[in-house]
Amino acid sequence: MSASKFLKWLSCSFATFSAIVVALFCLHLGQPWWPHHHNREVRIAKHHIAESVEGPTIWLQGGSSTWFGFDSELLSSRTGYQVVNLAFNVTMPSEFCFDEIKRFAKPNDIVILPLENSMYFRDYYSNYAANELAIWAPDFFWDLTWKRKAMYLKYLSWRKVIAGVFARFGQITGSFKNQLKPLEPGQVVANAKAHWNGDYQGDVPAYYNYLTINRYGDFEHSNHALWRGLHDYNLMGTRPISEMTREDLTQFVNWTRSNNIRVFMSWIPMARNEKLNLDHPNAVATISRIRSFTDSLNLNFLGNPEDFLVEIEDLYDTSHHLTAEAARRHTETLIPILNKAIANTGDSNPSSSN
Amino acid sequence: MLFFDPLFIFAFLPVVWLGFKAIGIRVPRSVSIAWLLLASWVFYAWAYPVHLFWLIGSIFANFLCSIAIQKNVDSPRAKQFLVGGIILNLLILGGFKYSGFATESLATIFGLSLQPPSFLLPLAISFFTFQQISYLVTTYRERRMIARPLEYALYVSFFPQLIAGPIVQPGEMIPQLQSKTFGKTNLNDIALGLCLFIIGLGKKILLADNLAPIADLAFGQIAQGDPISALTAWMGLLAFALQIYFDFSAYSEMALGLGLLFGIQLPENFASPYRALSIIDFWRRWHITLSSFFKNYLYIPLGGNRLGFLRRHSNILITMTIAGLWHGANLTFIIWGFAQGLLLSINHFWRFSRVQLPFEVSWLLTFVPVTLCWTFFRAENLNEALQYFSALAGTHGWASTDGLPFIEYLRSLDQTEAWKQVHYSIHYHGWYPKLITGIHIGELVFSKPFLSFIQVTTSLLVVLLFPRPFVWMRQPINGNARFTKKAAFLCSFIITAILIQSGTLQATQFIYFRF
Repeated sequence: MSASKFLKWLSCSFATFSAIVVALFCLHLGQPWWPHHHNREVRIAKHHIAESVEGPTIWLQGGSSTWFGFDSELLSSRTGYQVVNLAFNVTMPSEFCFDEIKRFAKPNDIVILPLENSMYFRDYYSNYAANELAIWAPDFFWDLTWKRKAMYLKYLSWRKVIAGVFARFGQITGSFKNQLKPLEPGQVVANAKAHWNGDYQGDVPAYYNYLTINRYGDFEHSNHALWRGLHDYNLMGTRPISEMTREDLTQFVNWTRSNNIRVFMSWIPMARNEKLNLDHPNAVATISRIRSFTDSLNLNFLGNPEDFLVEIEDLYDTSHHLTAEAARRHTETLIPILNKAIANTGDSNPSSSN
Repeated sequence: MLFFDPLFIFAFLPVVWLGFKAIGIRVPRSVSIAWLLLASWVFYAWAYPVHLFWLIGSIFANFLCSIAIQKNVDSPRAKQFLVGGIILNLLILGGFKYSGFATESLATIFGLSLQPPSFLLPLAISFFTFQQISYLVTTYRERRMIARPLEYALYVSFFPQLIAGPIVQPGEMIPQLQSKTFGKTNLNDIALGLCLFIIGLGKKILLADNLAPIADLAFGQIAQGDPISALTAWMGLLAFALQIYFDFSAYSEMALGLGLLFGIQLPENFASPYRALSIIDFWRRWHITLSSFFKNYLYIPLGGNRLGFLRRHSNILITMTIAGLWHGANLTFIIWGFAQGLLLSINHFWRFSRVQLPFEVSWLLTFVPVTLCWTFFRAENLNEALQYFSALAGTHGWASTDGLPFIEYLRSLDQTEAWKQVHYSIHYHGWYPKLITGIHIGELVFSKPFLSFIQVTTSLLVVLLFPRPFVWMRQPINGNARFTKKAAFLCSFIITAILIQSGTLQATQFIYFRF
């Protein structure tokens, strides 16, 4: 074989391999995967809640500290707004979090963003999020810009792709579907409703799942403290605000303004512990960086980090998840600040907003 | 700049190559040499520009020394210049590389409070120093001026081989630079160079860098004082043995490929060493250019095998111990080198017996001792190496049972509590990848120990079954390039696999960069 023919074969075989890889990637998208289909079902349940609310609504979005950190019923009763907690997991990309709000928010709604501090500094997709979203939100990938698509693919595990392809073929044969038990959306909603009405009789399939959220989307938990970790809540470092977050939040804020939706930033609940020192120069500088960034978008923070400090006994199962009682207190702390902010920025009576 | 760095592959290399091709069309050969020299210096200075000072200074001093040797070729002063040049090179190398180790050793032995000097070791100093010593010796032996200044500077600085070899003899490269056809590469060389570069890239990224975490985990645990099972220790050691081979041979093949892209054929540095059937054979196949250097410039001048039985074996021990020390200023490298010398001596003794062992036994008797010796090479200090040997011997058990109590504990819980505990493990013990990858086909298939086993055995099979690319890609009789569809498929498969893995791979620097 001559060198030129060799180079032609090289190019052709590379094109063939690339085509196979693209095909495998497309085949694997959307494949349910234990235990991650539980995350898919949480999303289905939250979407159902979001679709069901009527009237002016407060949308909560952030990481799991938001999912675990609010008593939405209390928030609703004290503000007069409907409340939906859309928050899910800290690793979810910021544009995904904002897209979730964009699906449902309407003019005169309010968005509260108690973003996990790490979300301000993140300039990558986590492997976990890339793998998860490929399973239960493949549209997210297709909606990304080319640059972001390339970035997303960088963090997608090739093993996950192979596993997803196996699942696809397994689904064709039927055995995997039985094994995985991914529920149809209608079944998820029916079970969730039965659970909220106290009628659900089946097993709770996993720890975090659609049967551990209440009718507002909050995590349903007890005051039982399972595990308490120490954490610096990503305030003690020196990382700059990431371009990715800057871009995503800017776009989101522009969208909310054009739709007459108010956005408030909020601090996550943080436990007093030896790793966190809000007086440390690094922490002061980090808080200042975050504030400068949100100020540049004319976004107001509700209160100060100190206002939302909790005791370590208030943690439920991680350094970011509050117990039910602590979530209630956290919400109570936020409500007067929020009501004041709502009054300062527009009509404080949600019923008159319609 | 690393060969697998996108900046190198997509910017530096295309610019330098296109520039080289453009220059080669019309302008004199010396301009092509100057262009490559400039590119090589940019490549070298990329991370630490200050290191360029040492490289250029060393080139300048050695070239002056070679002129002095050549001008005094008929007088005893030539030898004085040669010895002076070699001593100067070794002093600079020793000053940078071994002064800290020497100070620490003196302080320990004599109980002195000496502060070891701290400076950044110029990149590739071991390689370019040896290459220049071989130039001085060749000039002395051939009694003539071998290269013009630009040719000499490029011979030392040529970026494909500058950082980690192969250590090129003047006769292997300078005549190519002096050839009238230099600067006019043909399509055969380009295709072959591309193919070798891709295969080397695959070896590095797909094999070596995937083996690294297995070895790092095992040696890391020992370094932290954590006991590991014999299974983990053997897996870690095998992984390192394969990692260092793939890492270094990858570099060498990429260097060969890059050389061919510029019409320069560099010497092969590896000849399937893990297929060797004796230690002597192993050292003829492993890091061939360094072995040749030590043989030609140390073992033979010491007397080689000409001065009797005892001198022969002491020469082997001295040569290999110094070769060990060349790798780094650490007692572990000295012991590694000494152990290799000992193995070589034993092998020479064995030859007297004229007993022919079966193929499999010979291979095992070569591969296992060589692999065991890598423990000294990889361990940070002697204590760690000894601890690792202890783990290999099974003093901490043969297989890990760490997970069993946890599984028993989970079984004792009710379903919801068990899920909670699993959740903690997912979050706090990094079980995510295991869960993500490990479903359906059984968690075992993609579980970490099983994957490690698969990776190590696959790599070992690649070592044992695949011919070395340079031989495979060349016609055995006339040395012309042999292009096949198999090679094309392999290369495109490697590129695709690298692209797929690009996000999750943890590419590490070449191991031999630190030497």
